[in-house]
Amino acid sequence: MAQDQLRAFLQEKKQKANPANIDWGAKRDAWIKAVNDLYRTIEEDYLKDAKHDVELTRQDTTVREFFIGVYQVPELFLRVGDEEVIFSPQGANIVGALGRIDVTGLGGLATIVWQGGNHWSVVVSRTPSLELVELTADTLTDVLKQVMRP
Amino acid sequence: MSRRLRLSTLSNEEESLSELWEWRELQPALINAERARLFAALERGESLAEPRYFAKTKEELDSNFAFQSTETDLLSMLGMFACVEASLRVDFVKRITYRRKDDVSRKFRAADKARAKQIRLEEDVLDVWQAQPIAGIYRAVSDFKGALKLRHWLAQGRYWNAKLGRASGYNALDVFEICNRLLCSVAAYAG
Repeated sequence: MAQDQLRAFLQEKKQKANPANIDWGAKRDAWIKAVNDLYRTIEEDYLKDAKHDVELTRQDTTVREFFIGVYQVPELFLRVGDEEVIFSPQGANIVGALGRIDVTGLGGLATIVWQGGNHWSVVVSRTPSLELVELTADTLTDVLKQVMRP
Repeated sequence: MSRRLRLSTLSNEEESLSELWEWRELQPALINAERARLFAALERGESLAEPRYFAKTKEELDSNFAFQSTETDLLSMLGMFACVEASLRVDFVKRITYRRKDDVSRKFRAADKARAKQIRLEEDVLDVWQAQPIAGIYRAVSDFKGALKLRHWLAQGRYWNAKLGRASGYNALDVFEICNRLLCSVAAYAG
């Protein structure tokens, strides 16, 4: 009797487990591709004139997300002189956007979000009102100034 | 300022301890409802308009909701201390205005004459109550005075490592009981 109840409970939970029929695997794969595309844009476009001044490397990190599970996604390490800035993907299942990368350096932290396609934005402020600016070569410079030592 | 005039400055807007406790009990329910709404939206892949949640992960939201619960408890405790202080000070003003003959009223008038507007809660009000022959009031005032370290820490922005009046610290229910015992003891005074 108790086992019947347990089975019925778990079956009900399973049926309700994915009410929106979201393909979390596809969401994860799109996110990993978007991250790789962004890194390529940074390397080949935004930093193309500064190639001799910066060293860029990638290394996979493990991310664990609710609904999506565990997966590998690359972090980007940008080294200038003795300073390093890390672009660290935080996940695809976030509020209000399709993914988030935290950019950290010795001077602080900045957040960039993926809003689909090649559209990435820098979060300037969350409160009292949300302010985003599109990620471009210019705004990337602002991000680096913000997170690196003065 | 005359005593009558001082009576006219009372706002009658002070909260009761029971109203404050009801507010405090409602907050976790609201926080849990908001948490459930948010996580259901996340699960459905919906976008949310509130900028305070923007770009946060589920773990960050959980941590944020835990902060909200803790903050509610701390603010409710500060509110309860304020509620007691308001009640005692309103009683003080009424006693000096109506010129009652009981011991507490006479001592309050003496303090008012000596200090004018600089009436101190602990020395001029609580000490007078503590000295009255009312069952349980000595302990009630003593417990309240002990908890005032928590009140000061909360009211002044919690910027130092608080050494509270007792080793186990206080939760919201402890503070409610301390405040309620004091107000009930004062209310039992027949003067």
